Amino acid sequence: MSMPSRVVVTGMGMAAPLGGSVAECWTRLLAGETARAPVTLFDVSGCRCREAAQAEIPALPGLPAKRSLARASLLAIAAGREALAQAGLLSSNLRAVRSDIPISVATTAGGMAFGEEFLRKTLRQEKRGRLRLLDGYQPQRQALDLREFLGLDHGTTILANACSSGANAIGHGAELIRKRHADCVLTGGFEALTELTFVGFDCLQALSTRDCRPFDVHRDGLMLGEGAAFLVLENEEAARERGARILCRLSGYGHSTDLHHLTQPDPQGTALVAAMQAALKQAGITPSAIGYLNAHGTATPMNDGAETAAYAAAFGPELSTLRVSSTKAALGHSLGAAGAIEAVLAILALQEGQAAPQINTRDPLPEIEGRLVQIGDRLETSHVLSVNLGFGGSNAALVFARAEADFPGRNRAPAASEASYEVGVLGMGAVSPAGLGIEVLSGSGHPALQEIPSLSDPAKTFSALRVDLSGLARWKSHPRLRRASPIAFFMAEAAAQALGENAEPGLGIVAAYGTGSICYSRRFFSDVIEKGQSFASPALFPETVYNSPTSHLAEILGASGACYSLAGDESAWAEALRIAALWLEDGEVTRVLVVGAEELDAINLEAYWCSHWMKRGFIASEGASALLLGRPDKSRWRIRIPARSRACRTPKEAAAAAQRCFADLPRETPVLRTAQHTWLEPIETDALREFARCPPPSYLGEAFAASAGWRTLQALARKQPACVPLWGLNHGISRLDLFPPAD
Amino acid sequence: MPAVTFDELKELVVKNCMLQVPPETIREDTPLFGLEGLGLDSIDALQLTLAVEKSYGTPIRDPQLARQVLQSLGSLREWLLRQESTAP
Repeated sequence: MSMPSRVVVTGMGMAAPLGGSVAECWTRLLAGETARAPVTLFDVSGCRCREAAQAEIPALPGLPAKRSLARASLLAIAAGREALAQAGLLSSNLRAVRSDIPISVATTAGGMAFGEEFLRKTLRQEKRGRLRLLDGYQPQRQALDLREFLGLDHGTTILANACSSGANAIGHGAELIRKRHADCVLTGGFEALTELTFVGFDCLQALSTRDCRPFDVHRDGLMLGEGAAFLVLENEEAARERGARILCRLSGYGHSTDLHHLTQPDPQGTALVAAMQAALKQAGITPSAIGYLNAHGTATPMNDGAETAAYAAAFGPELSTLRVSSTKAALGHSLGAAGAIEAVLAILALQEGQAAPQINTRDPLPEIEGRLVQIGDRLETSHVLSVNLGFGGSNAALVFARAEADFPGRNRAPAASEASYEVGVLGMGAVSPAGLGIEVLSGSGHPALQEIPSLSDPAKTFSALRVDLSGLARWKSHPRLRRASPIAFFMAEAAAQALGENAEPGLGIVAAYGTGSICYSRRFFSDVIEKGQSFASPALFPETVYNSPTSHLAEILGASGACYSLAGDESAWAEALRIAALWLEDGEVTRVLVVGAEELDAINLEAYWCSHWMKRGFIASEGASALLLGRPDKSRWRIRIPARSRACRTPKEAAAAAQRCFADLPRETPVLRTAQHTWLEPIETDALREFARCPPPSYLGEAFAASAGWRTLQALARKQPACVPLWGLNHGISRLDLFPPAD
Repeated sequence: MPAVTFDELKELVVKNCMLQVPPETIREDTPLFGLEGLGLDSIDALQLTLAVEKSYGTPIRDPQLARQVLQSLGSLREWLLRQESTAP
C-alpha cells in the first residue's frame, strides 16, 4: 500500500445558535454568551423543559424563494458554503468550483419536522400536501439539497451514529484522503431542532429545566441545540499544489463502541479511552502534547461522570496541564452536528491561542477542577482534541495539529477520487419475506402478500410482504433486545447466519438503513400527537434512533470497535461495502459485518402510496441482509464497488448518472435487473438495454438497503460473474461487480 | 375507587417494559431492577413512573421516592393504596 496521505483542513463553516458564521459564533462564545432561550419553533407546553438553543438561519442568496427546503438543509447549505468559500473552492455563482468533491455528512434526525407533519396529516386523514413533506424528510434529501445548491455531483456518505456522528463523518472524510480514495472531501454534520427529538429527550428527563452545567457537581441535564458545521479536508500535497491556505492538519481519528447500555456510557468511559488512544496513536503523539480538549460535556450526570473518568485514565498526570471546555453550555447539544461544530471550535483554539470558555459551571467536579477554560484565558498549543459520545455507545475522537512549515514534500501524485474498492466474501445471511437464510432467496414463487390497514383511509388496505416473526423468537427473548423494534431481530438473525459459530475478535460493523426503526418512531410520535407530549414514551424513544439496532447488534456480537450506521437507500448498501473495504485496507479491522435492514410500518406504506410507486407495481417489504467480509483473495467471492455513486434527483440527472455508472461495464457481463417500480424504472430499462441479463431473481419486494443485499446474495448464489445495479431513489446510482472464486 | 390489584400492576409492568417473561413468574416481592429480579433499568423506571401517573393519576416526581416505590410490585401497590387512602 502507498504511504498514507497527510490530511489538512483548508476551510471551515458554521451556522450555529450564537451565529450564522464561524467568526460571529466564535466572538460571542469567547464573550461567554449562551443561546439558551424559550423554544419557539414548535409547541413545548407539555414538556418539563421549555428552553433550547435555536439557530438563526443566515441569509442564503441564490436559493429559489419558492421551494421550501428543510430547516436542516438551510443550516447545512449555509455552513457548507462558508467552508467551501474559505477553502477558495466557491465560485462567484455560489457553487463549488469543482463538482467532484465527495461529501461525508452526519445527522440524526434529517428533516424530521417534515416527517412529523406527514404523520399529523396522515392521522387526520388529510391527504393533500403530503408529497411535498415526503420530499424533504429523509437525510438523503438534505444531502441532495447540499449537492444541488453547492454544485456537487459525487457520492455522499450519511453517517447516523447518533451524537458522535459529526466526529465520525469528519473522521471518515479524513480516512478517504489518508488512504488516497479522494483528494478533497466536504465533511461535517447538520441538525435541526425538532419536536420528536425534543420531546424524546424531555421524556427521558435528560433536559435541564435550569441551565446546562457541564462537569458541575450539581449538573442535572443537557440543553438541546441545532446547527451545522463543515470542514474542507484535503490531501496536503494537493492543497499545497493549488496554493490553498492550510488552517491545520487533521492528524488523528479514533472510534469505538461502548457495549454497556443503549443510552448510558460505561461509568469508567473505557470506550472513550480507546477512541482517544487510537486517535493519539494515529497522530503519533502522547497525551502530553494535547493542550486543549473540546469535551462532549452534555451535563447529564452519567455522561460527564464517565467522561471525567476517561480523561483521568487516558491523560493520567498530564491532565494537570490540559485545558478543557464543553461548548454545549453555550450552544446546546446539536446531536449529529455537535461533533462537527466542536471540531471547528477545537481548530479555532489551535489557531487563535484561546479556547471557548466553560460557562455555567460553578462547582466543578474535583477530578477536573482547575482544568476548565475561563473567559480570557490564553493557551498556546500545537495539538487539540475533540471528543464525542453518543446513544448506542458511539465514541469518536479527532486530533488536530498545527500545520508545520516543514512539509515533507511530495511522495506521489494525489489519488483521483474514482478509485474502486474490493472485498472478499466470508459469510452470508438473510431474513426476508421468503423466510430465514440465503437459500430461500433464490426459491421460485412469490411469498404471500399481506394486507395492512391504511392510516389515512379506514376503507383502504395496502398489500405488502412481511417477515414471519415467529421464526425469530430467540432474538425477541434476548435480554438486550427486550425493547427493540423488529428491525433489530432481522439484523441479529442475518448476522448470526453470516458469522456462523465463528467468534470474530475485532469485528467491525457497518449497517445501512433506509427508514430505520420506523415502527417505533411512528408509535412514539403518534402518542405525542394523539395523547399529548406528556404521554411520550421513554421506553420507545431511544429505540427510534438510527443506530440503536446497530448498537444492539454490536452488543450481541461483543464488537466494541469500529461501528457505523448509514442512512440512505439502495446506495447506502454500496456505501457500506466501500467503508468495509476502506477499513480492511490497512488491517484496521480484519473482518467487517455489513448489514442492510428495513422494517415495515403502516406509515411507510402511506409514503409509498403517496409517491405513486404502488401504481407501478411497487411492493413494500422488510428484512435484512448480512455479509461477513475480509480482504479480497482469489479463493473466494470478491465484490468490487467500482466508483462512487452518482447523485441524481431528476430523471435527466438519473439518466446521465446511469450512463456514467455503467460506461465501463463489459457488455457481456450478466446484469441482475430489478425491474424498478419507481420513477427510475424507464431509466433502468434504458441504461441496461445492451447488457446480457441474469435470469430474473424471485421478487421479494422493495426494502432498500435490505433488498439491495438480497439481490447481491441472489447473484452470489449463481456462481458466475455478475453485476448488481443499485438504484438509489434519491441518493445515487451505483453498481457492484461480483467475481466467483478462481479455484 | 376500587383497590389496586396485583394482577393489574403485573399487566402494567409487562406491557410497559415489554417483558417477555410469563406473567405468572412475577411475584409481589420479585425485585424489578437488577439481575436477581426482572432486570429492569433506568429507562423502565421512567416508563413505569409515566404509566403509574397516567393510570392512577399519582405522579412520582422525586427520584429518591421512585427508587423506593418501584422496588417491587408489592411496594408499588402498597404505595398506591396509601395514596388512595390519603387522597382528599
